[in-house]
Amino acid sequence: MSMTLGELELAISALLDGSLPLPQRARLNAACDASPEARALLESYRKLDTIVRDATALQIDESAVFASISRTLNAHDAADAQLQRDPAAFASIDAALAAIAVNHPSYDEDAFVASVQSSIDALHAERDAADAHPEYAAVDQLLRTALPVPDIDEASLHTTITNSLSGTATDAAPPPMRLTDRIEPKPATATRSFWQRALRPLSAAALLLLAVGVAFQIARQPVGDEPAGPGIVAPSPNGATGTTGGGTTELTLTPQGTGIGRVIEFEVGRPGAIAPPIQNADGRAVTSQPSGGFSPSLREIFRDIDTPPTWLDGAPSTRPAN
Amino acid sequence: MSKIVPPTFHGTPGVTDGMLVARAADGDRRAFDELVRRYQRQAVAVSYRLLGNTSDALEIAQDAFLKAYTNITTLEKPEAFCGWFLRIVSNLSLNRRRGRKRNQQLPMDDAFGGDSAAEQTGGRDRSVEHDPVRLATSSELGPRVQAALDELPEKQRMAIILFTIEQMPQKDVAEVLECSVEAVKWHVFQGRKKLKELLKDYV
Repeated sequence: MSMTLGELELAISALLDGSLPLPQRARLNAACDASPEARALLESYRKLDTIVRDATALQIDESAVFASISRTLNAHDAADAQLQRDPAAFASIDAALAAIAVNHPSYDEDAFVASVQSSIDALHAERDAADAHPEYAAVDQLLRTALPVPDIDEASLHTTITNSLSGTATDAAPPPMRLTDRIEPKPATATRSFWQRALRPLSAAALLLLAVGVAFQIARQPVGDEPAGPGIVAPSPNGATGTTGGGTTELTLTPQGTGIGRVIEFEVGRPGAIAPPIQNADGRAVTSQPSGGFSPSLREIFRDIDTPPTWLDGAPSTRPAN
Repeated sequence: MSKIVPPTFHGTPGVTDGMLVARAADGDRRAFDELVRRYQRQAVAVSYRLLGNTSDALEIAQDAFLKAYTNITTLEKPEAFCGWFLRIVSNLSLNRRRGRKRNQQLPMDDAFGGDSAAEQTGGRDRSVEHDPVRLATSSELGPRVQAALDELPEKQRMAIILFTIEQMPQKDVAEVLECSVEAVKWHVFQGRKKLKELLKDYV
């Protein structure tokens, strides 16, 4: 039974480890018996193990090693015991360190105070020097002469003021009670919250914008013969298409009812595709006469239709030439 | 009146590692000393074969025992002290080795070359007057084998050192390497193949 080199090496290694099962051991023995190379390989591995083991064999003085390790452990035990047994020793060391820190040789209180005092004196001297500077002195003189203090008779001034105040207190009638007197004074700006202070200008701005918008809408109301907006094409009462401006589509209006509350229905569509206006028995269209323009709201709706839809291509344009 | 003699564990094979660990965890220093006696040789040997330096090996052994001593209460399975302790030794040794590589220092060997290691370390361990660890043979084969071991990947080197050289059981080697027994066998097999190639002049 032959074995590959890998199988042989693996079996030899297991044999040397003492973990080769009996069947594989018999197989290895058979291979070694049959092949001198296999036997040589086994011997070389055995020799390798011996060499590695013997060549690196150590002579160890175990008593010396034990003594060395014991010293290390004893030192550790001693340090540990010192920590547990004698905390006062460490407290005294801490105190000594603290004393050294406080009474450091380089610390000299008198010198420190003197240095601080000299710094303060230097600052004072600098200020005095600035005051005594000739330019400053000249400016001071100029101010005094240019703005002389008026000669005031303080006694007469005091009398005048006192008389004025006493006359106001006796002659003046008490002011009538007003509603605003009952109102608690508003908190000072500094005491208001951030939102209280921020909302006031915002609300004022919003009110201003609203007023401008309303004014703008009123200004856009049509007056008299103002032409209608662009983009609206309306049929005439007889069915013909009329224009109310640069329109892009066609609008058919059908009034329902009369008076102020009448309803206007309208259709928007391609010219010619819109059904003709409804006619009465006399052949007259029941659509109303154009009123000179649609309501402002309708004009607003169609105002922005300035690009004809693609389906309007080929249809007669009702948009007035610019 | 008989003198009370404190119990000793020295040379008492009936006392297991688990019992010693339990007593050491209770603060019994003599129990830990017995553990030191049992494993100091392996600690120094494994560290030495990983580092090739006597002083470093002794330092690592001391550090490993100190770590084991201060952390023995964290050992969940007292009977597994051997694998746990040798894992400390191997981790410390490999860390030292990596630190050396980073510092471009690979001092090769003290006992191989005599006093070079003591010079490099500046005689750090003055407590040991003489070199307590040295190779048993003075042939040139020792440095060659050590150099060949150094060329193996970490796992294979550790497997060869612990299993082939120190002849530890595969189960304990698996605990140290934190792998399966089958993986240990594989690492040993691969390591053997490479060593055979590296040392082909001698086999």
